[in-house]
Parts: sequence; C-alpha cells; structure tokens
Amino acid sequence: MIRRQFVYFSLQLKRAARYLPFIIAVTLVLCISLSLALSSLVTTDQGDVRHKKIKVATVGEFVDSYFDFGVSAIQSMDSSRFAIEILDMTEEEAADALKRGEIVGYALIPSDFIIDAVSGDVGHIQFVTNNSGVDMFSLFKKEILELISCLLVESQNGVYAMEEIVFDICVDHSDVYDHMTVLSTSYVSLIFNRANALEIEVIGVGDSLSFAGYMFSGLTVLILLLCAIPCCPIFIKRDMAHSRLMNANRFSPLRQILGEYSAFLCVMLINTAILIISMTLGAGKIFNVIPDLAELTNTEIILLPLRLLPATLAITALQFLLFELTDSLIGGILLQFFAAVALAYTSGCFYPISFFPKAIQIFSKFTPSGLARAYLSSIISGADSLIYVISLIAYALALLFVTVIIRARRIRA
Amino acid sequence: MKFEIRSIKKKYGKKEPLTDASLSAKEGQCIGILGKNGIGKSTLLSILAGVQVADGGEFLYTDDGESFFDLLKDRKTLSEKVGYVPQGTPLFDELSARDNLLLWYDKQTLKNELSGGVLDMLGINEFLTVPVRKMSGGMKKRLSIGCSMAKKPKILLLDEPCAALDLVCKQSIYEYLLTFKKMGGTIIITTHDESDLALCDAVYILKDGVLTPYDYDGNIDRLIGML
Repeated sequence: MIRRQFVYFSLQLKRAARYLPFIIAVTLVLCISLSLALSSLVTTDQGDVRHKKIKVATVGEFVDSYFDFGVSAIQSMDSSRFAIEILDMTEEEAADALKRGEIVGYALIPSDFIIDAVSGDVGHIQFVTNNSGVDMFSLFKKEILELISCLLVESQNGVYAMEEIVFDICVDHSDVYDHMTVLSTSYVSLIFNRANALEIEVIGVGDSLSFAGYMFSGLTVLILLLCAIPCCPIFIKRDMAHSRLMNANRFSPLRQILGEYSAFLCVMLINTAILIISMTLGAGKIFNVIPDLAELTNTEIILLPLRLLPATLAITALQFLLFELTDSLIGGILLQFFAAVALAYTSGCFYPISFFPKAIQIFSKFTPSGLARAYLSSIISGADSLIYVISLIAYALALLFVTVIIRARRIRA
Repeated sequence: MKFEIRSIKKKYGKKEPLTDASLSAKEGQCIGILGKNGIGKSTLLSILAGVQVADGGEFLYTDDGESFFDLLKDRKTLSEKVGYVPQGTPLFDELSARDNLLLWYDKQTLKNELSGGVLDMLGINEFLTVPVRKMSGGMKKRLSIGCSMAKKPKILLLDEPCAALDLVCKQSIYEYLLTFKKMGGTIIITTHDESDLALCDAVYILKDGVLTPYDYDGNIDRLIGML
C-alpha cells in the first residue's frame, strides 16, 4: 500500500517534471515583469515625491496678517524641495476642486484658530482629502517637518535677536536675563504648540513595511497564485477513468489527492524558491529598491522559501481545489486566472490593503491569499507570525479535505 | 467459480437507474449487457467494481460452488476477484506504457508478465516505451486491460471496450478476451456494438432498472425494438 502511494507520487512528479521547464519559464517571466513593474513603481513614486507641486486649499472665516504672512512664507520657502501652493477658497469651492482633482485636499481652519494660537492653545485643523492623492500624507508630513525645522532654527535666531535688541534699548540690565528667559520660553513653547497644530496620523501602507516592501510581499503572492496556470494540463482531471480504476483497486480519493497534491506542492516549492530568491536578490540586493530586504543575509534569503512553506501550503491547496472543480482545460485556466486576480486584488496584492474599505480589509484576513501576504510581510518585518502559520496550515487542511470530498463525488458521478 | 448478482438497486434523487438488476454467470462465460445510452449500464459495472455503493442487492461469489460470499461487503476480496476497465482512458497521457504499468505491477512481476504473461498476450511489449499520447486507441485499450489484470482477477468488467476502435484493434482485443475465457475467466461487457455480441454467451437488456435475458439471434431490428 505504501509502495503504491510512493509510486503514484513519483509518477505524478514525473509527469510534472516534463512541464517543469515551461512552469519555471512562466514563473521567471512573471517574476521579471512584475519586478520591473515594482521597480518602476517605486522609482516613479520617489520621483513624484521630489517634483510634485501640490495644491492645497485653506477654508476659514478669518483675517489675520500673520497667517497671510505664514502662507506666503511657506509658498516661497527656498529650503523646501517641492512647493505647496495654498489657495484661499470657501468650503464649497474647495470640495468641488477636490472632486475635480484640482487640489489634493483642503484644510478647514476653525474660526478661533488665530485667537487660540496667540494664547498658545492651538486647535486642530481638519484636513479633507480623497484616496486619489495617495502620497499626499507623505508629502505633507515632509513639508511640515521641513517647516518645523526651519521654524526652530529661525526661533533661535529670533531669541538671540531679541536679546540683542533688549540689551541695546534697555538702560537697566539688572533683570534683563530673567525677562529673556521668560520671553524665550514663551516663544519656544508657542513654536512647539504650532507644530502640534496639525495632527498627521501615519498608519503606514500596511504590515509595518515600506511601500516597496509591502508591494514585494503582495506581488510574490500574486505570482504564486498565477503559477498554477502552467500546471493545469497536468493536474486538471479531464477524464475520471483513471481515478475510478484506482478507486476500484482500493486506492481511495484521499490517497489519490495526497499523491497528486504532494507532487504539485514539490513543483510549487521549486517555483517558490526560484521566485523568492531571484526577487529578493534582484530587488532587495542588486537594485536595492526594497529597503526592508537589504538587511537580510544570504542565508536568510535562501531560507526564506522554507519559511514561506505555510503560505505555499495554503495557496497550493486552494489551487488544487480549483483544479478539482473543473474537467476542462480552458475552463480550468480561466478559473485559476480569475481566482488569482480576484483574490490578489481583495488581499491587497495590487494596492496596500489599507486603501480598501473596511469590509474588504476584514475579508482579506480570512482568505488564504490575504493570510499568505500578511504572513510574508510578517517574515520580512520580523513580526510575530505564529497565528498566520496556524491559520495557513488549517486552511490548507480544510481545502484539501474539501478537494477529497469533491474527488469522491466525481468518481461516483 | 460462479457468481450471482441479486437485485442491485441504485437511486440518484428521483432517478432510479437500477431497481432490480440480477444475473448469474459461470466460469468461462461472457455476459453482454445492452441498453440505451444513460440507462444505467455503466452504473451497474461501477457498482460491481466497487466504485459506487449500491442502495441494495448482493454480488455473490463462490469458488467451490457452495459457500457464497457477498463481494460488495468485502472490498479487499472484490478488488482481487474483479478487474474493471472503465470507459475512457485510465492512463497517464504523458507517461510511457511501462510507467503506467508500474503503478499496478511491481518491477519483478511486470518483467514476468511481459515475458509470457498476460501483458505479453496483450502485445504490450510492442509499445512499452511509447508515451500514451502517441498511442492508437487499440494500444490504449490493451494497456488499460493490462492495468486491470494486475491482480489476476477471475471476473473482468469491461465498459464499452471496443467503442471507436477499428476492426484490427477490436480483433486483437477479442483474441485476448477469448483467451481469458478459455483460462476460466468470466467477462461482463456493456456494449452498443453488434460485433461484441459474437463474444457473448448470454445477453441481457437493461431497461427500467431491470436486467432481462435476451436471446440474440442476429436479428438487429428485433434487438433495437427491445431496447
């Protein structure tokens, strides 16, 4: 019985081996094209950040010369590598401009903002934007950071300037240092309070990774999902005669599935190793577009496909279930392709999952592809991944169980 | 050796292809089962092969003519006594005949069967290294029969074995089946092919879930009227 199980597995492997060069070629083509896409995406993104001129509207009923001065200062600041153009609009105009894409967002400044600012108690500015300006927050954060550093430098200059003025105009110098201390403390505290005027919540693109790191994990899962397509001619059962004959000889659907799935898993493990090592070395080490991978040692890179085993198990079990759902080659290829694209999309493999509505974010946590992506991200970021390992293995077992049931039904049909 | 099939029943929802299928056969006999497409012939054979589970009935078998036992309740003995050649091609297209046979025979037995055994009789030596996808229909069918004969069964179930085969291929299969009969084997064959009936010692018509014995006298019009 064990001999026959091993022979069945080795025959399946032999069948798959005949298609292996083709499978690897497809993987490499996908790998190269998606790596180039990732590289250009990251490069373009960085280029845009350097050169983009963003338009922001301010909305609020106030008149203050110092605020106008601040606005013009921001616009003409030489230290900034990119410019923010600030436009004065009503809320209605700003909302329309945002819809038309003319501005990336608008700041709703409360009416008592200036009065509060003078007393050092600065209220929050509400910033309204949409999803299209995805890099707005990073631009804005950089701009604000530039602004704060600039203000701090200028504030020091201001403090010393005030000291000189006081010394020049004051006759009695006995308590000038006490006054200067009070003055400087108030000035700096006001400056720091202004820095807190706008609260930026940085949630990251996802899984504590850089954008490039996140996209690497997403695209890896996407390629793994697509890699089943060249395996369709081997693993789609177009004729159940063989399974029936085996079943008649007490080779149960469970044993059939185990033999076939093991061979498929071996092929996919080879595929995964090629994919991960080439992408990690290429994107992480040679082209250095993924900072999260730059620190991995060569041993860690080689071990990465093995660490990815739970994800490979779950994804291959899903793909194997899809093989079992059809008896047509064309239907099977289409099923694998559309399932791969749909799952990759809803799992955040094309865009960071944080960009999606809450419902899809929750859904992605329960898909094998979503778990696989999150697991890969956790491996790269060094986060705790035990829960993903357990979930992925449970998924693999459940999917294989369903596949066995379907096989049994097909044999009896 | 003798066997008896008693009141085999099978139901799929409202459809009941087998209500009371019964027949009996002795050593060296060939039983032909005729019937329209979709009437339940393949279902009956797959039940007898142990692929499907019957809703009722018995498949009684005896070696000594006295103590019968129900093969449907003993899968191990069933798989040893009964060989099954399903419709279609139960082979791996990408692999050679030898690779396909290795699933059913261990290396030593395969060697023995290829030199003077059942596989030699089927002429499999002629195309042992040929991949299945490059084989003719006749080669595939001979190889399928070869795979089913691995446990040297006493009863061979053949589901439309000569469908879409040319005369030469059919002849080579008939020759092997006649040899199998002479060696004491019993064959149950489902067919739509008139020429297969020449091989049969008894013919049954499956209609309304019941097997009815039919005395085929070469009158094809009468036979068609009975189906």
